[in-house]
Amino acid sequence: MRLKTACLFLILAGSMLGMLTKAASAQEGHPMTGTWAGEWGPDKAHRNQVTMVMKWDGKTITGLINPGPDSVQIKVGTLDSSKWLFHLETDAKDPNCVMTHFVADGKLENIGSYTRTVTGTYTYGTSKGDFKITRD
Amino acid sequence: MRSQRSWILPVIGLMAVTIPGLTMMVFGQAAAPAAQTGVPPLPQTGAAAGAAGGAAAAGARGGRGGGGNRNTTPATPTPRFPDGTPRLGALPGQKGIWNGGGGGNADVPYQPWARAISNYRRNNEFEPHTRCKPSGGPRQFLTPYGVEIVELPELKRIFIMDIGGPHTFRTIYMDGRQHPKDLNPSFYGHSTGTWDKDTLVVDTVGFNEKFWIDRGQAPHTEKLHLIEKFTRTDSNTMQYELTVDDPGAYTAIWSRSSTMNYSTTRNCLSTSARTIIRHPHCSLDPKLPRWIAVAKLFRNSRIVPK
Repeated sequence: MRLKTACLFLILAGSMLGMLTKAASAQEGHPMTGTWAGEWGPDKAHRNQVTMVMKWDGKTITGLINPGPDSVQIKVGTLDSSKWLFHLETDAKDPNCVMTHFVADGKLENIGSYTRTVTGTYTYGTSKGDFKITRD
Repeated sequence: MRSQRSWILPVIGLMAVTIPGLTMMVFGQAAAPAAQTGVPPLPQTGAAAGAAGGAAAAGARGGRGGGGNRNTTPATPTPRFPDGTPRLGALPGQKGIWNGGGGGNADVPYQPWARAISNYRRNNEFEPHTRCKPSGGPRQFLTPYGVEIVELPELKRIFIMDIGGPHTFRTIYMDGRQHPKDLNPSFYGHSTGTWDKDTLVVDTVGFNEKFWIDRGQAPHTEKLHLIEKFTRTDSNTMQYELTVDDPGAYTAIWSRSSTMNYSTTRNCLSTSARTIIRHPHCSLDPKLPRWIAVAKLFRNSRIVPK
């Protein structure tokens, strides 16, 4: 009986916490604006860290990939709000210092969360892989 | 022992059923049928917002706290300062609040993402106001229990204090200053005001994106530029005209207007005893000159978060 009561209490407390968590967040501004962090790579064994700072300028998504001395400017950034599909294009030097075209497509998920995510795939020259970034 | 504890399960069950319902009543943002059918949502009027439920509606429609807010005294000509400038706030020795502004219908020219976000918010989100975040722009006039306008000609400033929600205030600079070039975005932005005959024209920029500008879930960006016009047509009525310019969220500039009603039965001070204790800006000391009283209270009141 005591165990049953405790379980019910935990369920109730959990549902209340869930509701409070829901109330503690609200969607703000353009969903792609902000700083994002994550990783990308051709497979699970070869991953690269990435930081992206993106901003909606009213027409396109602009910003920097890996801000710093070797930062890369986003050349094309769009968000298809009918399906929340994110598209990004830029040019960046590959490991051989050859300028290579980079294209990424992903889906924006958990839009209302401050820590929303974009998950998708990319092509970088001849290589392909997947990525996931989370808004910081 | 079993019979002694038999009340526990029914009580827990009852709580499990009632708490979610109460939570929805408190945060009160039921999905509107328009959004469910895919019809583009329009920002709601005070009355329409009231129909959708929520505490904010109480002030607009004269519910709890807003009860009796609609003025029952006959309208008199617009009160004025000695120099002829219309008074938007209370006369000396009197009190009063404005209700019901900020809404109004408009054909909002959403950008696609903004329309999608508006629909998303309507179906899935509680607005920041429910967590006592300051409500910038027209949303401030839809806060529960109305707003109090305090004019301080000696300081060349007008303050708009919202009574429900976070109990914050907005400053309108009337001294002719320009907007700073490097504004730190904030909930209320930076407001400057000028008089165009009997209309107060308020120009505001420098908003952050952490609030919703109305109860219609309309999104905005840091590019938001608002022009608001306040015209007190008599002692009980004020016309409120809003122009929204946000190239980050809308394809064109859009406008709407609404009417605010004045109530002389309440002000910040009389709205609730709890308010007085928790929010010292509502406790103007009548024994002090008003600008000293306000300055003294502002020193102790909550700082508007950036």
